[in-house]
Amino acid sequence: MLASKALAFIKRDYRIESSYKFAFVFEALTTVFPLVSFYFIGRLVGPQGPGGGLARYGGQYFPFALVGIAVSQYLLLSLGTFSRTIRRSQMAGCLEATLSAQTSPQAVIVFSSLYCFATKLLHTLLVFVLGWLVFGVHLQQANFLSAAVVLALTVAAFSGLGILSAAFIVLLKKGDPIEWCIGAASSLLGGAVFPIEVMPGWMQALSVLFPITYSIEAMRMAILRGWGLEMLWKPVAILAVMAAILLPAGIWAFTAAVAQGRRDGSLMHY
Amino acid sequence: MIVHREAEVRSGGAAPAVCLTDVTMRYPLPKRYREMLLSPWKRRYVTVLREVCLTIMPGQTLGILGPNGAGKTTLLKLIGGLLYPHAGTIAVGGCDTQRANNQVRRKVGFVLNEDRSFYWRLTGRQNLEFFGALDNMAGLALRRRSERLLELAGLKNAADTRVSDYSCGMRQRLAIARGLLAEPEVLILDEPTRSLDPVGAESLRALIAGDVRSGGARTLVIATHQIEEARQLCDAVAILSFGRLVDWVSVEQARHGCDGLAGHYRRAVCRKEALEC
Repeated sequence: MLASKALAFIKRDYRIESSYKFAFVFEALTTVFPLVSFYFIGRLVGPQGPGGGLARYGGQYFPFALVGIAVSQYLLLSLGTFSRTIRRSQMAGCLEATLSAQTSPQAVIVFSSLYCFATKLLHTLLVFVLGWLVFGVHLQQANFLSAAVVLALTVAAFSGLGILSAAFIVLLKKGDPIEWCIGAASSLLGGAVFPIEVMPGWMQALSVLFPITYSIEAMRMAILRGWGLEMLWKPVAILAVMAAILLPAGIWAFTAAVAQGRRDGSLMHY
Repeated sequence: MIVHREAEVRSGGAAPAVCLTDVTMRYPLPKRYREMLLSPWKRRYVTVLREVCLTIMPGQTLGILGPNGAGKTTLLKLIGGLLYPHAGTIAVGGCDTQRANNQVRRKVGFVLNEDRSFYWRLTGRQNLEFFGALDNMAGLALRRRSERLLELAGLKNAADTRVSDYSCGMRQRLAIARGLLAEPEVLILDEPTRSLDPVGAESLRALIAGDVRSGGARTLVIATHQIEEARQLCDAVAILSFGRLVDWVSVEQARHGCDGLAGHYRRAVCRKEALEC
């Protein structure tokens, strides 16, 4: 029954999104455009020797940035999609009708984001395909199994934070502090477009608190250097622990926020 | 408590479909910046329902009448488990709406008077199939149920039209079809004929009195402003004023009164207003 509910959410979102004819194309273009800029920055920087900060990633800037951009875009989506879904339902007036049906709030929040995750995964794959076919990034040695495991764990950890952020939206309607703090800090400290080693010591110390740091590093090693799970055990273990803590915490907070909304009569407010 | 006991006596002691005991509901008031700074943890409330006791028996159609802001919609949402009461208890089919919210949602269908509660970019059929899936239906059974309800609601020819292109009356009919998806024991209708023209309202009332009521097999709770609608559709009427349940009268009993249900309503509301003043 859960599977058919999940499918119903995916179908709903596909039907709504596909009714806006050009949205998918323009969103894909928005994902791809930054690649061109970073390709030229890569040409400006040029290849680095063994002593450079990029040596452990193969010495080239563009492949380094390509993985960082693709992964960070996907992760920031995991952070924002839950709260955006709730906000959209509040604005559209459908949240109360959805929560009055025989489906738990936890299932509603998780299933509502599935379509968004699927389309953004397509965009991310498009980024890698373009990087490989158009910009000549070598992906022959990539270890896709490791990359998939790292991505799944990171999505789980970030989804926990995203659902927590949706809980704030249920209560505050606008001005969610989680997405603002974690999103902004992750973009800066995660090392998406520069190695974290170039940051001052205190910023490097802060970066270890965010799942994105481990995720981007592990994805780079899996895709650019072909590392297997046995070599990536440390970031994988840290991500697994973060996911195990953040996901249940997020779901608990969201359930509590919906119950509070029912007590305050504010579920329909926006 | 008089209202409570009167309904129980009339029912001959059968288990009630809906039972509210001393229900009070209050909403928090928004805070000003000054209050947020000086007393961040203190909240101010407005009480919208006070110590409401009400029993609705299976198969009964109860109308909720009352002036604007009397608390009718809040009462309906409390019965449907969309809101939790500040004090008191509400049981639907013996299940507490707060402690057993999932079970209550299986027993109650809700016809919201909110136009925007549908996905306007989807067709009527797609909306029903989505909400049906949320109500644990799937596959062929869901498609057949949606088809049957679209036919019942008179929307068969508009099933594949986007909801954005529906008229108010069509959206209201679709809301009724959605409320009936899970074949609920109790159906709650919030001003079902609001903003409909007289002919559209008449046809919707005929639908409610016939197929929706299902020959008395389903309990209906209808909030309305229209005395005539209450007279046509309901067995009994509860009158709310200033958040209090001020009267409960059977339609038959009111009909035999000196000036009918309208007079009864006017007296109950005016009496309460005089007391509040």
